[in-house]
Amino acid sequence: MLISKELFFFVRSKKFVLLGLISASITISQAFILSRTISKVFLERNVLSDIQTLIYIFIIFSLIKPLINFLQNTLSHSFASKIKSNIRTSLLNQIPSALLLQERTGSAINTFLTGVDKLENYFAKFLPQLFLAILIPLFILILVFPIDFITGIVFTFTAPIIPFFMFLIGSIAEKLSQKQWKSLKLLSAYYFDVIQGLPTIKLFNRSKEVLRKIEEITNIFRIKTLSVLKIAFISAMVMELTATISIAIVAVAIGLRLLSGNFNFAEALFILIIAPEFYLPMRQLGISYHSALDGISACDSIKELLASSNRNNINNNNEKIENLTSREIGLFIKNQSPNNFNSSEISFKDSKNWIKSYLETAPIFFENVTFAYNERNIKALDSISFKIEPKKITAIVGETGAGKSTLMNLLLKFFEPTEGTIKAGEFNLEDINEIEWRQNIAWIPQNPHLFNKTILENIKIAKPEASFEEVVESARRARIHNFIASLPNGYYSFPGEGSSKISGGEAQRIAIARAYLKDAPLLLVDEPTANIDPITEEEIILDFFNLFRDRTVLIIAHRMDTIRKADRIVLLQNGRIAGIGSHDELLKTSDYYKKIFKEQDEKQSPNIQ
Amino acid sequence: MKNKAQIFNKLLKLTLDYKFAMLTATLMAFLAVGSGIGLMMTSSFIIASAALQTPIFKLQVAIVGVRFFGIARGIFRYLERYFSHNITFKLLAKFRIWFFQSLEPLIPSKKFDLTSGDLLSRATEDVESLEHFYVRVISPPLVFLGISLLMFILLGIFDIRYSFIFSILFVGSGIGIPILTLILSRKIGIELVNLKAIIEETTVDYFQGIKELLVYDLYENWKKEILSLQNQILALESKMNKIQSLNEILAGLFMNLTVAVLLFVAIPDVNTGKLNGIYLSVITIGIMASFEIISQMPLAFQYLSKSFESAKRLYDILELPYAEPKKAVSPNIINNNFYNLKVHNLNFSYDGIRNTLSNINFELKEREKLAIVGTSGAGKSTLANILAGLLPPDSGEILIGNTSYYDLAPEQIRQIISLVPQKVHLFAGTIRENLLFAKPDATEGEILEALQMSQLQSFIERLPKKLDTYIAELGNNLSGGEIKRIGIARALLRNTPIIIFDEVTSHLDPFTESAILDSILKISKEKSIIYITHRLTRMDIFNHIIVIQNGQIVEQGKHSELIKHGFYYSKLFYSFAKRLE
Repeated sequence: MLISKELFFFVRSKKFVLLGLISASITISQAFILSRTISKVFLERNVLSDIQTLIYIFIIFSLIKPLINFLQNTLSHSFASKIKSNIRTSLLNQIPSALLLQERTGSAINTFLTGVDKLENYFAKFLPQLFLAILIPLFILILVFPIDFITGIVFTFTAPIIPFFMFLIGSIAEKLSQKQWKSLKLLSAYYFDVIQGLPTIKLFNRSKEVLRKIEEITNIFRIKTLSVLKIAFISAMVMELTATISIAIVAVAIGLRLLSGNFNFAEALFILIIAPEFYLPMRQLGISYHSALDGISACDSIKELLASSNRNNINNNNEKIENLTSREIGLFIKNQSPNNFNSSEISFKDSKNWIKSYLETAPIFFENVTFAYNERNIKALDSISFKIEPKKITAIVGETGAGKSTLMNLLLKFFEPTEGTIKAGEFNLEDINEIEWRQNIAWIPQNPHLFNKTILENIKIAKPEASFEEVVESARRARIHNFIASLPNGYYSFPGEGSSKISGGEAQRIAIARAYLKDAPLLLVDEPTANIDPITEEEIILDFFNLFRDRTVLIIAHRMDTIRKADRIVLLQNGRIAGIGSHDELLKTSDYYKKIFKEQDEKQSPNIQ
Repeated sequence: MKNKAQIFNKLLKLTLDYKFAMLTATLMAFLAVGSGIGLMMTSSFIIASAALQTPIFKLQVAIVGVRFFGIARGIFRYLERYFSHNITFKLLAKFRIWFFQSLEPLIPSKKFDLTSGDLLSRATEDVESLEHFYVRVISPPLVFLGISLLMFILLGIFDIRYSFIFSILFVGSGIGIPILTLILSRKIGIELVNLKAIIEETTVDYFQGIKELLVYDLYENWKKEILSLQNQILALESKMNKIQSLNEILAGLFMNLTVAVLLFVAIPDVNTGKLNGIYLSVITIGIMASFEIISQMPLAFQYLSKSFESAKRLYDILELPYAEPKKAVSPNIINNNFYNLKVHNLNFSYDGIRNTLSNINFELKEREKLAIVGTSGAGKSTLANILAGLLPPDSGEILIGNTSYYDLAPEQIRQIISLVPQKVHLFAGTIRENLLFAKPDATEGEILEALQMSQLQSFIERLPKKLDTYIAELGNNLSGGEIKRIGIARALLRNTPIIIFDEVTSHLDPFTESAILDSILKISKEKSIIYITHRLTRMDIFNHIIVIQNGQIVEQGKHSELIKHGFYYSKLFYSFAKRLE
């Protein structure tokens, strides 16, 4: 849709309409003055001093007009800025789930930055121009009709041809050329592909052939595109011709009537000067048409990104949930120790500490939890029920796609279960404010993200108010302190910098340091599998278990040592629970579990000749 | 690199192939604008003459002129668009081919990871942005110049003073205003580019770490940071917009001023009879029509500086030092039938300071299987790239048979050695096209054999369109393992005596890994194999294992020997075995 409801902003904005009218009036007045001046000199033999005033007025108008146009421009630009800012804000408020799943992060960033920027031309150029293309011709038409009926008729009948052809471009020729633009995009995708694959091309000694192919494809494309554009250009030509030929008709028609003496020269000249101004806004609209198309396609990808969010209006609900939680916790405390507490006096901070101590004794329950990332998809988790015991290690074991990460995402409240409930003790996780909840979780993902900030800041994200000594202490406990201290800038080094480039193992240790610093009762860990060499990996696992002491731990496990040390193992298979129990129990009860371990055992006894 | 004049010259040189086409298109553009001026001038001539009751037969020529210009304008505009689009596409192709040709010898580069997505997408965007070089940069100034001359001559017919007055103001608005706005906006422009880079960097950083931000309750802070960056950008853009709007606004002002000044000069001439009154309106209206071209000039200046930046970035990449590829000295090596590979005292450094590989020595006899083992970053892939002739060694010697690498063109080396790289790149297209890329004339039988060897046949069987399935159609259904296996099949098709497998089994499940190792065993009956891995499964199948740590060989021998030694290798091996895959 080319004309959206935002157009009405320009119509509703009295300032904008007023500026448009003033600008048009000035243009018309100038044409009027000019024709009068020339007529006076030409026919009435006036000398310069007689018409000096007229020229000065003309100059004054020339100086005012830029100011008006400047204001018009600023107004539409600030309108576009406001829209851009609003869209970015709502994108950030809704956290597209594409980001949480780490899918298509690149295209999300692209839409957030470049896509939103593309709206600029649409809102700041196309829409105002569309408005002016209606306003100015109408204005001129109203003035011209009383002066010369015939010109009025010519204008009236030729004017619609331009928008008509513009929309014809929009429907027929443009569709064709849009197809070509699409293949242009394909062509650049092909080129990018080829450049990216250059090492492969060299490996196969095919550079010359590929070069020839680029040449061939671009040539074919050029010829095909031009044959399409040939047609598309015709409608552009008709637009152009309409304007010029109707000026020619008007000029000749007026000239002939001047000859017969029933027309005034000044008025004739006025019409001739104003005629191009009549067509100009409509022709300019045609020019901004392409950028409008760009804006519309950007709009689509923004909408798509917004729609991918399953956390609608999360910010609006925050307050409600906070109140509810504090009240509930207050009630609970009252029930536990009725004489010591007054629920109304419990501050936010108290309740937080309370959850913390509560979690030290309360188990977490999954009760028939089902989750699907979206309606069409298969269930990532299917009616899962199990218990995470406090201060024990619960290991999740399963193949890729079994639902292990989904389980973590739910516990972190990145997503809410589609069906069923997760409970912390007696509280439904849904009712607990997500920020309060996460304050009690330390999380070590497979590939911890290190921000483009100093290592100090990277550790401190776990506890922004932590002192330097606290950070060093947690780094020591994570056995990363010596490494950090060996960097040229120590704790003030950046993770990406040249020689201080952080390896996967070091990143893991920084995540462990974060967890020590946060000192949360609940620990969620995804054991590393890749990017770390086996020896470092073993060391890190040892560090993990130091951290695990006295905490409730849920760990996605990939190593036998870890699994053996876990108090309880939850075996997942295709989103369902295939077994729960200790290592020995599972070996007895689950064939699937036995199968996994048998493969391991075979591996462990290497075939030494 | 270099100054702007040099870059401009280089760009211009690339476009010179199309100089006649460009000249034609520019001429058409000139004629289109000229027809507009002609239309308005003859029209006002008719009106003014008619006002003096000139007999109609004296106006016939002018009336024909009006009709001619009215139609000609549309036609010239049409032709101009056609020709200029033709040139644009031709130029784009030209720039693309030029960049490909210049980049090819540089990859893989010592200095940069040129295959990294960011750098390349930037470069391809830069190449694309140069397509406007003719339409936006070359054409408008030429047309502007033409119109200036035309008007100079037309006004000169009446009075040379008019010509000069017009020229000063016309050139002032066509060149002066754009330069003024360019100067005014330069600082903001630089600031904007910097801020945009910062917001992009920050957004990428934060979007990638969004889970951390949420877990550590930093999301709200972050949001504020991004939004405040955005607001800074919007504020700057609004300043920029104000400056750039001066272009259009001042051009209108200049047009009116030119008209006013000329009226002041010309009206006394009419009074004294020096100028026929008819021409007062003709001149005025002609001047107004000529200002049409002015609107394109600011864009020309903006695109000129954009083209400079793009071209500069491209030249910065293309002027990286690289080793000139050698001409073949021993053209007959392929028929030697003696493919022992011998590496002696090989050293390599990316930055000239720290050695990525130092003092590497080993030998691979024909039809033997060599494994190169080590953790990531040890230098294994660099070694593979050197062996495949993609990177030149700094010092040391590599011999195939008795021929030194120094005497071989890289293309020749690769006729003997195939490499399945760690990152297999599949081109957009069908699976078959990707396979045939390695050997365009491969028979169906050869393809089948390669598929079988790389354990792909059952995967292909399951696809409805079999080998003619488009890679893009598969999307996420194509797993990392399948991509690797297509890469293997592709390398097998080349049928070289030596094949290097670089980390082909990472990201594969143990079953497939085992199957691939079986295939490699089979292949090794006819070929020499170098198998690079950090996964120590079934290492007993290799004749020899070299262990690389920090670019040096720390241990070598057979699997059983190395295990017995109980050094680094055995440590690696046992901790690896504890993984649950």
